Formats: sequence, structure tokens, C-alpha cells
Amino acid sequence: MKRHTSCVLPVSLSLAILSLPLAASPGEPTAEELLRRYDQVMSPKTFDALMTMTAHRQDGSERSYKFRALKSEDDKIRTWFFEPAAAKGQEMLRVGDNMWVYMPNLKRAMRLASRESFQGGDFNNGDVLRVNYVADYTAKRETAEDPKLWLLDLTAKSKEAAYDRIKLWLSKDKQQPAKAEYYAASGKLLRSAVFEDVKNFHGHERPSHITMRNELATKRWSEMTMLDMKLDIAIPAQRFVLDDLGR
Amino acid sequence: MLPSLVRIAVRNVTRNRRRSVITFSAIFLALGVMVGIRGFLNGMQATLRESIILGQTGALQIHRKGFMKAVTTSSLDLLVPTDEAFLQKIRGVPGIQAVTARIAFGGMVNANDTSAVAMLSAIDPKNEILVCPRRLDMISSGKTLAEGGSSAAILTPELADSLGVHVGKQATILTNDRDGVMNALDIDYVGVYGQPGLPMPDKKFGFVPLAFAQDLLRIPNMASEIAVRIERFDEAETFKPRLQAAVGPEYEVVTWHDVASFIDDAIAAQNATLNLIGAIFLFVALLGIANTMLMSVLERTREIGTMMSVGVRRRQILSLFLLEAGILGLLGGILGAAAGSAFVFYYGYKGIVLKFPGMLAPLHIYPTVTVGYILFVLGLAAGGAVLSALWPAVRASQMRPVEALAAV
Repeated sequence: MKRHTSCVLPVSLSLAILSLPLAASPGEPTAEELLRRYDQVMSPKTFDALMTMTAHRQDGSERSYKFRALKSEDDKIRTWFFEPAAAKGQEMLRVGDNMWVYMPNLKRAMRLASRESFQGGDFNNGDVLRVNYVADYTAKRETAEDPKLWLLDLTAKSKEAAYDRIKLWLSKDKQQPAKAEYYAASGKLLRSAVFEDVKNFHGHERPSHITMRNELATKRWSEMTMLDMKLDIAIPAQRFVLDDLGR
Repeated sequence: MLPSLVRIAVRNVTRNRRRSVITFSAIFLALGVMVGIRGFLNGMQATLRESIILGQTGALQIHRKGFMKAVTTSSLDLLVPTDEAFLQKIRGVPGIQAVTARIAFGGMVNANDTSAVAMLSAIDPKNEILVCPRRLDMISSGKTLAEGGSSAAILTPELADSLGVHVGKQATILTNDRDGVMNALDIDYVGVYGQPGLPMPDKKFGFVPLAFAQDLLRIPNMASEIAVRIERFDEAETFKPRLQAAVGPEYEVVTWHDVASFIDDAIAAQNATLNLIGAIFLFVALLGIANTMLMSVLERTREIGTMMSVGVRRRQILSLFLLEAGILGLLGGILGAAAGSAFVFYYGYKGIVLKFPGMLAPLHIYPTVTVGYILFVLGLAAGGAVLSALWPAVRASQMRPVEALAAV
């Protein structure tokens, strides 16, 4: 047994060393750098944002939601819903791996799972409340067909991540997210997203419009629009405590 | 002439009693087993059908057009109205005994800061048990929805255990309403559905009152399914066009054949097995007849020669042997079928109670058999007997009198 390991270890080590230079050519960003860049663009350290989400349904009708999202320095996110009337007063909170929704009619919060649909649309709860790809995924650089794009292959580190696997494209010029494909562990394509309309929000540039297509029910798709995003604001830690929901 | 031929045939059958009794017993056993098993299977198939129709589906169902083809049955896009005017249209069809509405939906059930994904079924507590009275058999302890109040819930033990709730405690259902907006309401866990380890379509499953679900899903006066009860389930197909005419083309009417097609499949598979077993039994018995008749022909060669020499026609010789076989087959068959029918009628009256381990309500099986089936198997036995005696009889009829008389 001992002889066995002593034999395998040098082989795997040398393989690892051999594969290292393939990860990035000199001067090009590494997979980790691009992933960090994605987080920095899409989910800056702290923010106070106003967004709308529109879900386009199978029957051709659509439902729109308006909500505020707040992120703390230690990666906690809280949202408040304003529209439609049926969702008014609902709040969500994520602390670490835990997610809750506060229901105003029950005056109580309940657990949510990150892979469940966000208000019945095609984004999931993790897409909105859990944007920390550096923490949730291991990234590998791949060659994109489009020479203007970087391609990352992301694999989830835990079951709590929003997806099992993501293919993420970033533009080479501004290093802004361009598109993404989201896969199940089985390799089945679940959703695909397009990031568009880069805007400057108080000095922070990011795509203001994301279209999320449902690849399982192809007549369904959802849009997320960033109306406003303020950065580097001081938010009391009290806002990210479960007991504060509904207050 | 024919009556005397029959008399001779009967006498010939009783000449070698031991051999006749053995042949007769084989036919008797074959027919007895065929009728007995058929009766038992009929009873079991009726019980299976009833347990599904009176326990889950109802005889017919009405959905919004396209519902049966939809990918998920928990879709809230295709709904039927449950207002009094619409239900009255259905009740107005002659022969409809009861009408009930249901909603199938999915949700998260939360308690003790844990949650579980569950399939839920919303039923009208009062009318559901008129359409599907066997539902009550599945409640292993606690109260029914009708006794439990407006936010009562009956949950499977798997679901309750995963949340750590006991009967009498509260939990919350969180789900998306028809528009996709989240909504949540508290439930009172009042009853236990089924028992752990029992086969169930969904392990995490629960029942709530219809009005509760209409509130939660924000679909007042709507449901995903309407089920009806009729007196005789085999008439379901004849109700289909009448119900369709009553509700209009925006809706689709299906029978239990459509929603529980596995019943028909299971019955067809059982019947095929029975037919095979019956065929084997009958074949062995008929081989016995062929053997008996062949022996008879060989033994009675000189007798045949004598008959022929006194002017009995070849056709009559043939008929005589066929008649002998027919009498054996028919007599054995009648008595066998009578014995089988006696078993069927006795247990059909008394009922057979089967209690499987882990099953809440024991199965009551009432065997029945139709006159048509009895006549069919009798015809099969008599016809088969005649057919299997054909070769020995032809042999006998084609003997040459001189040679037959000289045979040892």
C-alpha cells in the first residue's frame, strides 16, 4: 500500500506541474483573476441597488417585480420587494449558506433554497442573492470561439452554489461579462444568459440588463434590469440579521 | 338412430370405468381450476379497479383542454372553474352521483427552520369522500380534513419526519401563486397519510382543503381537476360524450382508463397469464382423452369389425367414438365448472380477506364469474375433447371389417 502511494504521488505531481503553464500565457489574465473580475463587476463589495425583474411566461404574459437589494461588507444580501402588490412587504436575506424569505402575512421568515426559482421567474434565488463566484466555483480557462471573448469553465464547490457548472464569457477589452450558460450536474443545459447594455452607475461600470433564457421550457425567459446601484455606502450590520426582517 | 348411438356411447364410456374416471378427473380439474382462477382474478381486478377509482382518480375527470398533454400536472396555467354554475352543469348530467374539485401543486413545507419540497393535493373535504370514499382508508391516524378545520393538513410520515413535526403541530406551506409571486400560509398537521415504507407515488406528499389552496395560490373558484362518480365504472366511456357536451369544448373529459391506464395493462397481463395456465391444463387433459380413445379403438378392434359386418356405417363408427369423447369432455367439464363456480359463488358471497404486511386496509376480494365464461370453457372442453378424439375415431372408421374381425 505504501509503495503504491509513493509511486503515484510523483506522477500526479509532475502532471500538475506540466499542466500549469497551459492555464495562462504570459500577459493574459488567469482564470482566478477573471472570476474575481466578474464578482467585482456584478457584485461589488457593498451596494444599494434598485432592480426590476420581468418574467415572461409560457402563455405570452409577463409579470414584473421591483425590488431593492443591499449587500454588506461581509457578503450578506438583503432584498425588499415593492411591486407587484402581492409581493409587497416580502423580504429576502442571505447569510452564508442560509437564505430566508419574510412573509408579511405570517410576520415570519422561512428558509429558501438557492436553486429555487426567484419569484417564479427564470433566475434562481442564488442568481440574485448569492453572487460570490470566487467562493462558490473553481474556474478553468478555455479557448473561446470568439477571439474577442475570454471563456471560463466554472465547477461548483458545493451543492449550495446556484448551479453545478457554468460556462462564462467575458469581453477581452473591458472584461465585462458577455454571456453565460448554466448546466446541471448531468451536463444538461438549464439556462443561458446574455449580459448587455453596460452603464456607469456612480462610477461603477456593469451590464445593466441581463436576459435569462429557460432552456428547459424554451418559451420562458426573464429579464433583470439594474435601475440604480450605489457603491461604498455604510450600512448598519443590523440590516443583515434575521430578526430585522419585516422591520 | 342417433339416440341409440348416444346410448351406446354412454355405455361404452362406463365400460372401462377406471380409465374413464382418470380422463374425466383431468377434465374436471382443468375446468375447475380455470373457472376458480378466473373468478378469483375477476374479484381481484374489480378490487384493484375500485381501489384506484374510489381511492384516487374517480371514474371520470374534467380538465382544461391541454391539461393531459402538459408537461407537469402541477401547472397552474390550465384551470377549471369550481363555481356553483359550472359544477351544476356537471351534476345535471343524468347518472352523475357526486362531483368534487382538486388542485395538484408543489411547494415547500417549512417547520422548525427546516424545509422540504412536497407535492400537495388540495381536495374538497366534503365532496371528495363522496367521489373517492377509499381515501379515508389511507389515513392511518389523526383526523380527516373535514374534521380538521380550514387549514388542516394530512401529511405522509416521511414529510412530517423530515420537518420534525408531530400531529397537532403547525407547519407552513411556501409556494408560488398563479402569477409566480411567493405566498405562504400556516397549516395544522391533523392526520397521517399512509405508513412509512408503503409504496406511494411521492414520498413527501400532503393533502390540504381546496379553499385553503385557492387562497394560497390566489386562484379563487378555480381548480386543476374535477372528478365525478358514477354507479358502474365500465360505463365511464358512455359518460364521456355526455359530460363533454355539458362542459363545452374548452375542457377535456377523460375516464379512469385514460388516467390510470396501468389498470387495464395489469388486467391484460393477468388475463394473458391465466389464459396460458388454462391452456396448459386443458391441453394435458385433452392429451388424456386422445390417449383414452386411442386405447379404446385398439382394444375394441374386433368389436368395430363386428359392428361393420352387421351393417353399421363408417360415419356412424366415427360419430360413436367422437360422441364418447364428447361425453367425457362435457361431463367432466360440467362437473369441473360446477365445482369451480361453487368455489367462486361461496367466496363471492363470503369474500376473501387478504391482509398484506404494512397495508392499512385489508383487501376484500369478491370472486365473480360470468355465465358467458363458463359456457366458453365448457365449449372449449367438449370441442377440444372431440377434436383430440378425431384421429383415433378416423382410424377406427377406416378399418377393414375382415382385418378388424381377425385382429387379436
